[in-house]
Amino acid sequence: MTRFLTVPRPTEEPITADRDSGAFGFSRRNLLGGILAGVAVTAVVPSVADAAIIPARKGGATSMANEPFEAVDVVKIGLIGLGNRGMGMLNGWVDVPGTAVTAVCDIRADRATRAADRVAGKGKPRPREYGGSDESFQKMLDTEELDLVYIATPWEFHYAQGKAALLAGAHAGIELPIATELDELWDLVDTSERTRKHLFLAENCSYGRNELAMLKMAHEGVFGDVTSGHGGYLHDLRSLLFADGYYTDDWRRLWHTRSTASFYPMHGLAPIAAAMDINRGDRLDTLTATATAARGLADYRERFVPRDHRSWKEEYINGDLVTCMITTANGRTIRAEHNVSQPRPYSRINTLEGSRGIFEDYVGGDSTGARIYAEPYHGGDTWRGASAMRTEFDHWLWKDLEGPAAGGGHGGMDYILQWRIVQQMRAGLVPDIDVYDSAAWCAPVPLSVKSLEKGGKPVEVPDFTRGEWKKLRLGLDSTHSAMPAVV
Amino acid sequence: MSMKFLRRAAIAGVFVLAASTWSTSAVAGAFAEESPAATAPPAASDASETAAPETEAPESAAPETEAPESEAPAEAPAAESSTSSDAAEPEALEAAEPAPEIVVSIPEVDLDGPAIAEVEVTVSNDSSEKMSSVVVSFAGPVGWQVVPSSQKVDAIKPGRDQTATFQMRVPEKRPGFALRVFTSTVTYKGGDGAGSATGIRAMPTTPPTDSLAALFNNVAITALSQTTAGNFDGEGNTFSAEQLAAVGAAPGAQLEALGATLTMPSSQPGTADNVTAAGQALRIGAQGQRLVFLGSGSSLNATGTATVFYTDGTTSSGAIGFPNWSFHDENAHGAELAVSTNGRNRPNGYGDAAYQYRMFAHSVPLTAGKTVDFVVLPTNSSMHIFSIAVAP
Repeated sequence: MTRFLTVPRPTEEPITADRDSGAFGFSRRNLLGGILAGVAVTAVVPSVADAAIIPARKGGATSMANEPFEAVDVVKIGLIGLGNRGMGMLNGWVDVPGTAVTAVCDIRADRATRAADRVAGKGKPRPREYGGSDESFQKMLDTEELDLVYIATPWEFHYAQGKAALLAGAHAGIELPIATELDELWDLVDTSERTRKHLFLAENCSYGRNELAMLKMAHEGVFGDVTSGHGGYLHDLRSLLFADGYYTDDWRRLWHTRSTASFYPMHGLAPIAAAMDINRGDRLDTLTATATAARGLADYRERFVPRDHRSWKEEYINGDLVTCMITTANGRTIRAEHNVSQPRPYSRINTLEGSRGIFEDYVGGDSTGARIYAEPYHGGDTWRGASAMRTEFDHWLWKDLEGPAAGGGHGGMDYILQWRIVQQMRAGLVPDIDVYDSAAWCAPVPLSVKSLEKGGKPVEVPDFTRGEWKKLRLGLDSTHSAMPAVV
Repeated sequence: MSMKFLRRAAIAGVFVLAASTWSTSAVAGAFAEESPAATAPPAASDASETAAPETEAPESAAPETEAPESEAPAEAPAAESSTSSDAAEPEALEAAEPAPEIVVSIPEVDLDGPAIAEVEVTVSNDSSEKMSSVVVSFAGPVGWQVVPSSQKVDAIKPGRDQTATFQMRVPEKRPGFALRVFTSTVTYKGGDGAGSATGIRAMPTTPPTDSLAALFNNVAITALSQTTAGNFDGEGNTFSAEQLAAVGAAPGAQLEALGATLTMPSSQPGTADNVTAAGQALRIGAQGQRLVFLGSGSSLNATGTATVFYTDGTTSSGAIGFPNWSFHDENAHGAELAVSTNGRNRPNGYGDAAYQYRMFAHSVPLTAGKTVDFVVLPTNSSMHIFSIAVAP
């Protein structure tokens, strides 16, 4: 049951955007300066006002495309952020073969203790705990020798903590998004290239069973020449957004007071981008955003939230449905949607269409939830459930890991993601998702703001690969390989 | 043996077409229609493949009216097919038609994906003039990503080659037969003056299947006792086994049509008894006048191209089509009525007794004197095939 605290916020003014401070209307530097006081975070590069401008590499840095991990026998992992998501992923990090969770960190020390207890309770060495201040994560990074830092904090901290992890000599896996500003995205790209450490979006939906089968069908040519895709994040989060304690300090709801943006389209965009080989032969080129009025959260609050709840100090300005129309260099189109503010069943859409067929997810086609129609496999203008073809095009990760992944978070996607990250690091493989993919998938967050500020005019999507997108590379449609044996 | 022939023969496994002789678009169309299980001989027959598409090109242009090769006019392009690169007949090849002067060759591609393949296309100038403004394009099966799609290369002097390298995304190798067709076209000024030439390589992923029954993937015939066991038309309706038996078309029964003896599937009612055409390959191993198909359509457009591959590496092809099993002219698509029953089985039992539900025969001509190695079926899932036989 949702509970509401009645503690008033310390401000009497409506919480709204500071429109002079970055794409999201609040001062990133003020925010980080306040919360991360004393933390050594390198200043971001100058703002890239024109996304078409590609900043030159500095200091002889080179691309991280096709760069394998340096193989390690055991992946030493440090976790930053142990709220809902961080704790939800903890078991996977412990259970995947060849890992050692050696450090856990949360600004709330009790969470770090609880996480350490859980690790120890699973018979593994107790990780060192870091917590109690906003500097705790930096202390962890300065103290520990980590191979991988997994970051599951509120969005506004991802950039700084991800960059700090790279500078500390670790690879960084970050929950969505890796950053929310264009200059931050560029800085993470540059820092990854400079430190030779990978930074990647921990995009579990890229490893969804339907999504991976859809990707393999696209590569086979089942859909012919793929011309368009449609993805998104359509999830009625209203009750969670107003649930006290679910999102620590209301961080997620407060984003809806700051700006009109597509905050979180990556779950649907990333699989479509993968199926179109974005950054692997094509690239995102332009983005046009539209936004509906902001009605959903206020309506929900009106009906379900007590008048003395602190949320009544807030003004929600983010459009309920923010839609990004993206064109690619090869002439394809992608529609990426974000809506967490209105009543509706969950969907990431996952639609891919080409000259010979179409795949649609979340439409109840059969037990997969997807349906398909493709020539010459099908005829009669009749949809088919996707089960048969999903079986035929099942990704090796799901064939191998269906058992261990069963019961895991988000239908097993979380475990598959974690297993694959660890396997890549232990075997010295090229990551399926790299900093360029991550930056491209997250770019709609700030670019939607820019487009909406221009009345919905198209804005250019930066080429974070600096031209490397023209070369084909493998990605999520990977070759089968085993997890190295644990010695 | 001339140098031209030597250069040509060296391109093992590559179909070579000179635009001065053949329409590039016609040839490309013949393959594109069948992709991914398209039309071409297997790589195992490399030595004789160079003649194959020349045979196929004119047939694809008029598939329903084409004559067997032996009936073609002497000056027709089909003469080229008689000059396969059989080592015993090289001079005959030259006598029949000059070797192409601009040759585009595609190397064998490793189909064991997922992988990124580097494909180096070679353009050879056997003409007496320099080729300039040379642009090479390359494409794989539909949906396979290639970069760049085309690129300019340096001018090519007479007797010299030039290469262009492309990246191609090769998907995971799948079970079952598929023919992967790769096409490269070069446009140019000078050279032989034709302006363009095309090379094609086709690679099968697996050997053809020996038995049609092994390809059966649909249940079209059910017994009255279990009418829900099949689904011919996508709506759960099927032929009635009892009605078929009443007109002599019981399991294993033999029918005469278009000069061939066709055998009804021996499958028991309610089990797989036909193949919906999806580019499958069936081993034939016989000679004859024509290859006859017994089938029926679950739509009004159950048509496509069947491609015949001979043991000497040459090919021929032809259009076949079956009328809709009911409510369609019995000679639609050039078919001939073979079996007609009253009524059909619906999920709730036998019904529609006032209407006829039918199977038809259609054929593609075979090249006289050649042994059919295998046939690749069309790609049209509304085309249901129950039997295939050679008419002697």
